[in-house]
Amino acid sequence: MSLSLSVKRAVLLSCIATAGVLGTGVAAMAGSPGEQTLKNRTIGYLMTDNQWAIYQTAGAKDECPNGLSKWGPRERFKVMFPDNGTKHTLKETQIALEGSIWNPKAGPDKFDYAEAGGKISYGLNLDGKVGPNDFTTPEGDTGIDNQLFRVIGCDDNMRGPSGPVYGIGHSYLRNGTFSKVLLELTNVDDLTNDPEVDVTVTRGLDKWVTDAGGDIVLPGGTQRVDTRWTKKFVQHHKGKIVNGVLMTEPGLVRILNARNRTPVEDLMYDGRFQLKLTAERAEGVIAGYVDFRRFYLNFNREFATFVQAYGRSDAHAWYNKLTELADGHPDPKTGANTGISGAMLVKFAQVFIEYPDKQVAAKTAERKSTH
Amino acid sequence: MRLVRGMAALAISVALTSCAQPSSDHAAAVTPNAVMSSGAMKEPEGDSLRRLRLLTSDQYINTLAYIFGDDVKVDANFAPLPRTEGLLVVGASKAGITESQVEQYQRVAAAVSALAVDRRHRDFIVGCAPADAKGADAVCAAKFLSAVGRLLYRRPLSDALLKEAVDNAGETAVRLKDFYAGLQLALEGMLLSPRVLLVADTAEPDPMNPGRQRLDAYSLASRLSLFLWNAAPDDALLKAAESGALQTEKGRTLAVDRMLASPRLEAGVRAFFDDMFGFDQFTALAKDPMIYPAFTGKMAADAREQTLRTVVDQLIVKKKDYRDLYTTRETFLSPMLGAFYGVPASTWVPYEAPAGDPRVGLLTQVSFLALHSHPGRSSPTLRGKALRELLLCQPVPSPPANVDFSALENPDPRIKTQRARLELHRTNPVCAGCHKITDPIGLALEHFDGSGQYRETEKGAPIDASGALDNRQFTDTVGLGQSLHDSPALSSCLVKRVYSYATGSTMSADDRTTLEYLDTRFAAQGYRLPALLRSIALGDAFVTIRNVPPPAAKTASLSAP
Repeated sequence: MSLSLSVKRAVLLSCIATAGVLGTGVAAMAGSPGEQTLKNRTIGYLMTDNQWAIYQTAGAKDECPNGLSKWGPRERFKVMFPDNGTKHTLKETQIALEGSIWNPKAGPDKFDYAEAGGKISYGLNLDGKVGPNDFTTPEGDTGIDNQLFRVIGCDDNMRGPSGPVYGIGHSYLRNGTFSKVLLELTNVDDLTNDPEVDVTVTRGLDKWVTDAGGDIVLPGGTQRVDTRWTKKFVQHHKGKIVNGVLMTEPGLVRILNARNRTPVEDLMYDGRFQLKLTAERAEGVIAGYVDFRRFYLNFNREFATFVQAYGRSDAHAWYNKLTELADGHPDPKTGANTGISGAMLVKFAQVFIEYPDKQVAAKTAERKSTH
Repeated sequence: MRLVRGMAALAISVALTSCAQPSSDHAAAVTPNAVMSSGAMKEPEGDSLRRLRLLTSDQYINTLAYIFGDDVKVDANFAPLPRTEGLLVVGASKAGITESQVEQYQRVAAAVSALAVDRRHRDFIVGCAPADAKGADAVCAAKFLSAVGRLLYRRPLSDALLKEAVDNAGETAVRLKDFYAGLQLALEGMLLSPRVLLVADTAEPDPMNPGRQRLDAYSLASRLSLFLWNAAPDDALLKAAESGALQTEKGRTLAVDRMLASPRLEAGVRAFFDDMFGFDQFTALAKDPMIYPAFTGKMAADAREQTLRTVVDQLIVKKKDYRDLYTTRETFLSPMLGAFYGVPASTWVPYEAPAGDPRVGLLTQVSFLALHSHPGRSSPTLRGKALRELLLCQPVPSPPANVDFSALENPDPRIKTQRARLELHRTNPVCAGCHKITDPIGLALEHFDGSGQYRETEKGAPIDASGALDNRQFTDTVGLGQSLHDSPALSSCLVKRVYSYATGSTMSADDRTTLEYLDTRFAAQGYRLPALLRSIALGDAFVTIRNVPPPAAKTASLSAP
């Protein structure tokens, strides 16, 4: 077993080296005999990349025919409070605008908004239907529900790889201490096809093991689970693996993040994971109906006005659009949709997952039994 | 500054090589069987050289840590020592002190002395309070400086030396209106003193053996402490020296056994193996990140630590046979190494490789494999050379200056493996002489690439890991470890290195009898390192000083016209 692990590791690292040389990243890695990595029918993964799914073309021509967002906080302020000699108080201007961000109300807005469109986007068919507002994935899957893409797809902050939010999020996911999302697959008999597996999402505690450049997370690291401070984050999902792709059943998915130091949690109703699995990596989407109000507030908590100004993010327009395009998880009392279909593109690296509490409990039990 | 100038002046002329004896690895070759057949287990008369040597950086730091506590920690990386006959410590007897080194020493001395008397530390380090913190206090200064000076100088301060230090402290305290500033300056002067930085063996007539010389008690204490703890003597050892107990058989035995039982032994054993394995080379080790992306600076540090932890665990904690280091499946893994091995490790954890795993023994650890490879590829030749030189004490000649590497670096894609490439060397008579003693060993490690990662194939071609160590044939890496384990040269090399390390000397024909005895005794004691350390530390040769006639004075004279 260990010999095969060593062999596997060697193959893996040579793959990474090759990927680095060719500049093709992990996508260049060959598939691997997944079942060899299973230990006690279990395999763990660590989230190494997550970005809200935005389909991008060169120059944004396809998805943003009206161009990118124009009305950031500075631009909006200049129009609202022109430098024409009129005196305004701080309360009437900056504080009022800031207050309206934290107490948003959807309504008419004189500023036009660059909404993303086109026919292609990432995500999943959440409602099982193919409707006029749905997208098609680049691979040809139809009925893709991703209205969130329409809201954020032409926001220069959110687009990668140069968008500040995209870049900061990427950096903090790697270097931050909070957002270590672990995915553990248990009761796995076969990493290629298995009709029933259990998926547990937890938070890890340990630094990532990276390559010499510090950017590629190496598989094979170890993460201890935080069972103390993020208990409510622990989630259990049922799933299946078909042709090497994990698909979980719809359920509430909590996504822990700290894109700019501030710990936040996004919620996806009827959320599900769809990940292509190998022994060393997992890659795909997490999709569901995003709690848009929480999403909106999280964004504003994580990224201050000056960051929003970099890419001309327009919080007021965001809230309007989120409310307008919300398409799922209606409030039982009002009937208003509280979720907006969306997706997150994610990547994982294989890790070994340890439960310190379980180890301590086992040792305590062992001590007791010997006395 | 006066001190610095004094040190610099000294630096110019501290040539320590005059004590050195002509040495040869071959001259000290050991033949244990001959000794065994004669039944010679009684310790023969032996002696060692009187040395003057520099404290190493680690010895200096360890000494300061003992005196002032771990809290007073500074970064001290003194100039590298010249490796001599396999050991840096031996090179410490050949090192000089340059002006730039004096600057390094002063930087460290200034930092340590400032920390020792700052507001956070002074109450428990100084141990007394001045009558007036804005002036001199000769009583308190003398109390502190005599206590610290005794530990730094490794013997009590003479009255004159103590008075000079106290006067310096007092003068500065008055000028700066700060008692502790005075103390700091006096302490800095001590830390820079040649008597502290250089360890000079002092001999005296041996009353038990008329006509022979022995180390005086303080020199013996220093030699013991540097050997076993890699630090200057502690208070108890100095007390044993002061009372004369250390010069008695009983007292020396008590002292050695106490030191061997101390947790500080680990530092001594680590220092020895770090030196013997040439781990100072880690400071310059780098791998091509495009070829070995997993090999980081952290990985290098962890690899070094892995081997040292394994050594301490096997030899000191579990008291196992030294030779088993090369066949053991037990080691330790850090998170970084865990990813490399494919084994869970959220912190440093003990690990035992399962049966069938090719990683067996120190030779298959990343430290050996990566250190003796090129930045972008493995090197059977470097690995074989290292094994011969470091572990078997068998020097391998350097390649001739006009060696033609073009054949070796032939980009012909049909030549896939290192074995195939090196075949060109082994068939070339000019190269074959050396390559035949290195490559058959190194090729057995070809399942590990230049970073130490396991591989089944090289460029798609299967790897043949068979080889031979001297006359022992093997088929794989595990067989190499076992062959090394069974080689008589393995244990005799360790004996030679440990004894050389203990005395700080190169070995010569004069040491042959002592080495033969130690080698035989080591075998009889099951190749247990603590037993070997004890045998050396309690041995006659460790304390007896060889009478070396001073070199004949040669004067040149011009003949009369």
